[in-house]
Parts: sequence; C-alpha cells; structure tokens
Amino acid sequence: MLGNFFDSFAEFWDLYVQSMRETGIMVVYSLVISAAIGLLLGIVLVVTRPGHIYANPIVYQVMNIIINVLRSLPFIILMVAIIPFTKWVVGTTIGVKGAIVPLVVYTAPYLARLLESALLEVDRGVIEAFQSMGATHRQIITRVLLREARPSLVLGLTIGTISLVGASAMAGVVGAGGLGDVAIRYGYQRWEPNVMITCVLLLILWVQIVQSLGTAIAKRLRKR
Amino acid sequence: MIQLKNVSKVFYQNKHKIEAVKNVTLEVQQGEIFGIIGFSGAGKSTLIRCINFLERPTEGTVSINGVDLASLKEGQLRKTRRKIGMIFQTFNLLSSNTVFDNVATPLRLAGAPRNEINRKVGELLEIVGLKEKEAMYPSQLSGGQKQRVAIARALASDPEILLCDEATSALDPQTTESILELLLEINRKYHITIVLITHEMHVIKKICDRVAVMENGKVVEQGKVLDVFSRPQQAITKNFIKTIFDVNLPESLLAQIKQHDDPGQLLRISFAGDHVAEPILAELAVKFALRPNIMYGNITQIKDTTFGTLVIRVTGEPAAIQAGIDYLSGLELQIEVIDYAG
Repeated sequence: MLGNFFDSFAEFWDLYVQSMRETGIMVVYSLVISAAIGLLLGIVLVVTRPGHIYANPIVYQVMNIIINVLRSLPFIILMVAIIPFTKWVVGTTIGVKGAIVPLVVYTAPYLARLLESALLEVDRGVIEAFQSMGATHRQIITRVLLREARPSLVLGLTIGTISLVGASAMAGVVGAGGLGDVAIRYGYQRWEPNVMITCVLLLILWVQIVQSLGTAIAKRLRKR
Repeated sequence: MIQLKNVSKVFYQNKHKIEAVKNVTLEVQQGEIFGIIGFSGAGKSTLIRCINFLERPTEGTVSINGVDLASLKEGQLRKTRRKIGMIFQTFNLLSSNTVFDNVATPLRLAGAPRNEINRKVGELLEIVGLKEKEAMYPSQLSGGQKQRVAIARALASDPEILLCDEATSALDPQTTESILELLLEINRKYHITIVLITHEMHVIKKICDRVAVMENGKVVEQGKVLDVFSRPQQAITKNFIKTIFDVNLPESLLAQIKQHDDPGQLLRISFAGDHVAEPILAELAVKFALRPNIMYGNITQIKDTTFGTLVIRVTGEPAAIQAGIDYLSGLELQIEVIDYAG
C-alpha cells in the first residue's frame, strides 16, 4: 500500500513540481498586486472615516459599497463573471495570466478589509499626538498608521495569502494549472487516490509554511 | 501669550447638538502655569485642544503671541504647533519605537540632522532621568516613565508652551508627585508656559499659579489659585476645594455645640502667607477677654504660599465677640461667621 504510494509519487513527480510552480507563480504575482491595491484601499477606508485626517463620507461610503459587492461573490462565479474585464486587462482569459486578474479582483477587496481592521487598531491618541507635533498627513500615514500596525498588517496578509492559495486551486477551470487542477483532473476524474492525497498534503504544507512565516514575522515586529 | 476670546465649540453627534465649550474667554500669561479644573464632561479636554487647533473652535478666536490661529494656513499652523508641546493622559507613544526614537520624533518630523538629534535627545533624556532606558520600548516602562518620555518628546522642539491633557490622571499618587515636580522644574528652568487640565484639585494646588473652573462648557470662576482657594464663589469650586481639605465641621459636633449653655460664636478664619505667624488667638483672649477654642485647623501649601484655615468657637460677652470679629477683620484675614443654628 505504502510502496504503491511511493511508486505513484515517483511517477507523478514532474507533475507535482510543475503544479507547485504554477501555484507559486499565481500566488506570488496575485499577492503582490493584491497587497498593493488592498493596502491602498485599506488606508483610504481608514483615513476617510468621519473624524479622521482625510474625513470624506462620500469616498468612504462608495468604497465601502464597492468592496462589499466584490466580497459577496464566490471566486468561481467571480472568475467567470469578469471574463470580459480579464480579457481587456491581459488580453487573454486562460492560463496563469488569465487567472491572476480574477485572483486579484477576488483578493484585493478581502485584503482591503483585513488591512483596514489592522490599521484601525492604531491608537487615535498617537495620531493626535503627531498632529500636535505638526506632522503632515503623509507623515501620519507612514510613521504612525503603517508603522504601528505592522504586526497586524503582516497577520492580515497571511490570512489573505492562505485564502489566495485556496482560490488558486480553482484556477484550473481556466487552464492555469496548479495543485488544485492536478487534484481534480488526476485525483478525481482519473481516480488516482494517491495523487489526491499528495495534492492535499502539498496544499497543507503550503498553508503551514505561509502561516508559520506570517506568525513569526508578526511576533518579531510586535514590541509589547 | 495665549488668548482665548469667546471660544465656543459645538459638536454634532447623531444629529444631536453638543455644546462642549461655551463662550470661554481667558488669557494665559508668559511663564505661568495655568490650570483648568472640571469634572469629566465639563469641556476642558475640548478647550485645551482649541489652544493648538486640534479642535477648531466653532466661534471665537484663539491667539498665540498675538497671532490668530484661524488666520494661518495649514503649513503655518503646523509650524506653530511645533512651538506648542502636548502631553496626554494615555501618553500616546509609538509602541513600535524605542524611548530614544520616540523622543526624537519631533526632530525627525522637522528634518533635523542626525548629530543634532543625538545631542538633543541625550540632553532631554538626562532632564527626565531616563538616559539609561533609551533603548527600551514603551511596553517595558512604568506609567510614570512613559509620561517622562512623553514630556521629553514634547520638549524636543523647544516649545514655548506645554499643554498637559490630564497628564497625571492615569498615575498613582506618588508618581503624580514626581511628574508634577518635573513640570514645575521645566516651567522654572526653561520658562515654558504650561496649561494643564485636571479633575484633581491637588494638581492645581501643587503647581498652578492661576486656575479656571469649568462646568458644563463654561468657565464659571477664574483667578489666582490662592484667591480662588480663600474666596471660592461657586458651589462647584467649593466642592473641589473640599476634596483636599474639608472645612465643614461634622454634623455631630455642630449638634453638640448647639446644646451648650453658652454656645458662643463659631468663626472660620482663613489666612495666607505672613499672617500665619500672628498670635491671633492669644490676642482675642488678652485684648477682648474672649475664650477661643479650636475646633478644626488645617495648614497647607498652595504652590509657594502657606494657606491655613481655622475654625474656632469663641465665648464671652456678645459685645466683646463683635469687637473681636472686627479686630480680626482688620487683619486681612478671611473671617466667616458660621451659622450653626440653622
């Protein structure tokens, strides 16, 4: 039985390497782009709140609604629904490129919410202290908000990355490959239980590594 | 130096109008320590934030050294704020920065060169007595030490004014003492004008030169601390003074006196400064053949002045008692006849 498993592992080795690579590419690219957009949106969601440095009820409400709308769609539906948009942005709707656009549209609003709540943890009193010292709004964002929230921001990014790994497993639908795709095609459709088990184990490994890394970095950054 | 003219601040919360500050006019002189006392919700927090425009007044003007803050552009206002340090009840330090970096903040915001930052921060940490803690993080410090860091930070930009927002309210009595001593030292050595708000009369008594009493957004009484202490006008002021020395005699004692065959007259005598030295009781006995009996006595220090209160019961001829009261009144003492019958 176990010997059987190792035989199968050797047989599909190239497939695993290939799919890990694909998952890796999808996650890293989508993460970098989503994190940039999500952080920007998160900052806007915080500073346009009533009573904050750039208080603006209209911007805040509009952003709130847009993010809620995007957050309502399950990834598999979102991916199909935004096909025209994907085509417009990268010129194709298939492959890794075609998967990154929906992954970003799915992850960025989620990260925006996670990072927003991280930034909201920053003590308003510290912001007030910086205002009393004559800090500019930009200095308040970079030196207070982003700096003080670092541990929580890292934890938020970790959660976002894990959900990204999960969503990327569905990208097989548009032919982007990845671990999820292998699990469905080989594990389920061709009924190779050993491939299924390996894919599950590899996904668990992914999540474990991301979470441990995130927790360790956050712990280092937290000085209390 | 600081002039507030008819300052009002109105907030709207869920369409409810909240008048936090109502028509406040006051002036703080260069080099003094000015205290604002009131219960929580009296509007003092809002008022002190109007001084550096963290809250813009809805009406009225705030001038610093004759410059109306409302006339300044954003950039000029920020420059003015650098000359107004501020410390807070909750310290408001950056938890992710060391003591050194926290104190260096105002200098870095202003773009000071590195060697100047090192020199200045070293000096400031020396003043507040935390030189050896410069590499620590705020979470490793006690409340008093955090407030010292905050004070050092507030002084880093060489301010002319220091605003203290309930700076000692989160500290235990002993730490409060040491922080108040430090504020007094800063005021005396560096001639920094201090405006503080508090709900503790003790803070006013210990370091303030002048005081304003706030109630429901209004300043109901203001003046030199000694005058306010010896002649409080408003009920709320009397209440605050009572928190540090209660000049009222216990009911049971009053009842006892009432039952006396010759209850005589109850007098409350308040005195400040030099008069403490005069043997007034002996004078009453010798000059007017009265028999003074001390019911209650208290001597305290109001900043640098001795301030005492004495409640005595005098018995003797009614005419002599009146003459005695006249004599005391001529001595620049505060005399009050206590009506214990009612």
